[in-house]
Amino acid sequence: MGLFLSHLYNVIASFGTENSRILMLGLDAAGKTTILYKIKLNENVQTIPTIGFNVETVSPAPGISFTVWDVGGQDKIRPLWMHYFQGTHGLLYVIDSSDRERIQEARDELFGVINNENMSKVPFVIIANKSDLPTALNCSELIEELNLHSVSKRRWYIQSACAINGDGICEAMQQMAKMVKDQRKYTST
Amino acid sequence: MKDPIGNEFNQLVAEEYLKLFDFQGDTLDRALRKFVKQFAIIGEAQDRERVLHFFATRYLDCNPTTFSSIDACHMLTCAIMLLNTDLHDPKNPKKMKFEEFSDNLKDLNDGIDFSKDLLKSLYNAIKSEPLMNQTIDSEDYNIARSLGGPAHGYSNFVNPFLEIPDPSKTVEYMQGYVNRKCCIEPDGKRTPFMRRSWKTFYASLRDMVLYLHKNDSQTDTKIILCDNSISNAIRVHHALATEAKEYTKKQHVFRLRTADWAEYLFQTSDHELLKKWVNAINFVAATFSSPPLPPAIDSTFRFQRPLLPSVETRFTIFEQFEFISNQITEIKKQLQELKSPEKQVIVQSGKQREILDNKDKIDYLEYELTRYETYADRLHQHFEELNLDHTGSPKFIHSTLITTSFNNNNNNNQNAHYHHHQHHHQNNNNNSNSTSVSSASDNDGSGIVNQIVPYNKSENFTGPIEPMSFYHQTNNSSNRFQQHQILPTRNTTNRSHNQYAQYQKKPYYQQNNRYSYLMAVQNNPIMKEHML
Repeated sequence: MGLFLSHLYNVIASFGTENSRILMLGLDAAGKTTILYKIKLNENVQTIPTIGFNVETVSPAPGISFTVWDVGGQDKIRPLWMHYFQGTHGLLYVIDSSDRERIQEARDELFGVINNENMSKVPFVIIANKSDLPTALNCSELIEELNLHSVSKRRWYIQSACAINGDGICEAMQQMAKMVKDQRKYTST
Repeated sequence: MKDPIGNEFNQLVAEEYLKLFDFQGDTLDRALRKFVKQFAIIGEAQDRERVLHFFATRYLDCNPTTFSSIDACHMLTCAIMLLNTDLHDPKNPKKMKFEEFSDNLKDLNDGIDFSKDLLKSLYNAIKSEPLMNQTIDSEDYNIARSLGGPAHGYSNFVNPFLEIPDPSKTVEYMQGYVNRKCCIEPDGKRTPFMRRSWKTFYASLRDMVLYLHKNDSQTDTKIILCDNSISNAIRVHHALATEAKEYTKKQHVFRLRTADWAEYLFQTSDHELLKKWVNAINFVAATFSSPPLPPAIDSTFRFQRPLLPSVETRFTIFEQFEFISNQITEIKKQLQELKSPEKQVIVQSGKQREILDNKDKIDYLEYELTRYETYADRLHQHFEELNLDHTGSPKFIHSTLITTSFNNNNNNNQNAHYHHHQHHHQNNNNNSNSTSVSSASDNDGSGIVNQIVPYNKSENFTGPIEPMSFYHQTNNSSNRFQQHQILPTRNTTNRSHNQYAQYQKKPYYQQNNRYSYLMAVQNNPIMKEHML
């Protein structure tokens, strides 16, 4: 009986699933692929990956599903992602918090994206990856380094994580789900 | 740049490899098909883009008149790859239309548009036939993935992003039938009514995961992974088990609060078992939980709890004890600050949000204090059972001084050492054969000394602990408590070297040697009981 009821609960919860498009950005070697791989393991149906770029879907909470695009790449092909900026509901920005040398580069790339007109209202979650390493910057240091104080009229969230074990990923995804939901409510009223 | 094809050699290899392809006279999509058929493009988007750069260069070499520059060719190639994903990946719900494809490429042919006809033919070609790779077939891929990790089902109990450790490599600390009731979900809400009922499980605590099986026939490690026990499994890292005395509806119930503050009640068949479960869970959580990661921060700067990672700590059990003690001191200090009258005045006059934040913070710290104190008590009890002090050295036990509360213990331990020091020196003077264990003769009349081992803290310096990974790798034959495998410490004085040599003749749990801890754990009857 219990099993049936919990199944029923899941079915009810899955009603009204809204699909949102989430872009995942970050410098190379920040850990995007690892995070995407974590998401892949969560899939029930296993299929061959389509040739091209990385896309995965994930359901971080009942009633919500994300399509996550790994949109790395240098400035040169950034224009190609413009198509996806339009109609994007959230941005996941992955940062290697132990790589102090490239933190400025990461900041420039982040601001390059969030200042795009199509991304102006999109909430973003920063995943401070590799924060278990001894040299890692903590979240408040990262806020300073990334100059997040200058971001106004937009919601953001910074989560320390260790993608290789999966710690922090679920929390980041759930926060993203919450912000996307709130943003939807806000724009519809 | 951490670039797999960044160095000169790799670039030359890539160029030479591409020379094996002949793209002469091919359209861009046909050339790309030839290439991806042989070469599986994997990795993150940056890597893929770089590989395609070599492809574009080669294509332009074979067909010099097609594009005005490598960049233009590269851009269009990336656009085709993206189009392929967009149109053919089932995970993308909204497909790109031709107009969107062409708009997206506006001005990207070195500042001008690509010809509409070219784009139209490429779009149609990709739409009618996806790019295919022959080097990976679906079966290989599935095998590769199933080796990479179990595809566990999603449930509210298990964080889908955390991998469950391979059960055959773990140690079982406790098992038995229990009744479980979910009370509070990880998000802090009460569990919905229909999922709140009591259910019977055969529970098995393996490392930091509490597996809940339907019955005792499923506990074989090989079938745990295939079984749906995983969806019921509870991670006990940073968890706290306490006897639920306030729960009066049933007897012998303990409460389990996990790292994400979900709560469960477990009913056992008698009080002794309850104690054993509580002890086992707190022991595992105290020994293996790793230090918290910094808390998340959001744009409102509201208080957030630190992230408690599921990964096993790198500390030895003794370092862990020290860490826990430090945490307790630190939390007490913070709590005192937060509760100070000055701070209260500032907060009360502030915004509603600050008051709430302050309350959340105090709630959190108070819980953490209880948790760490329980851990400290539990580890202390564990050391006591093995006759070790918190540095892993054999210890004198002053039976009258043993107390259960951690707070008092710090001082009392020092007293105990001090007494022993005295006894030891007396002993040295009276008896040249001072290193032998002589508990009877050491009695100074008061009859309170149980056991004496020549040990002098100040002379026997215990150096910093250096976990050596090779030892962990080479000594995997012993599965039980391999987490505790600890190296001998460095003794800095000659005298202690002599003592060390003499310790070799003593029972292992009395040796001042970190190997001895492992041995003691394996051989001590008290620990055997825990291991079942």
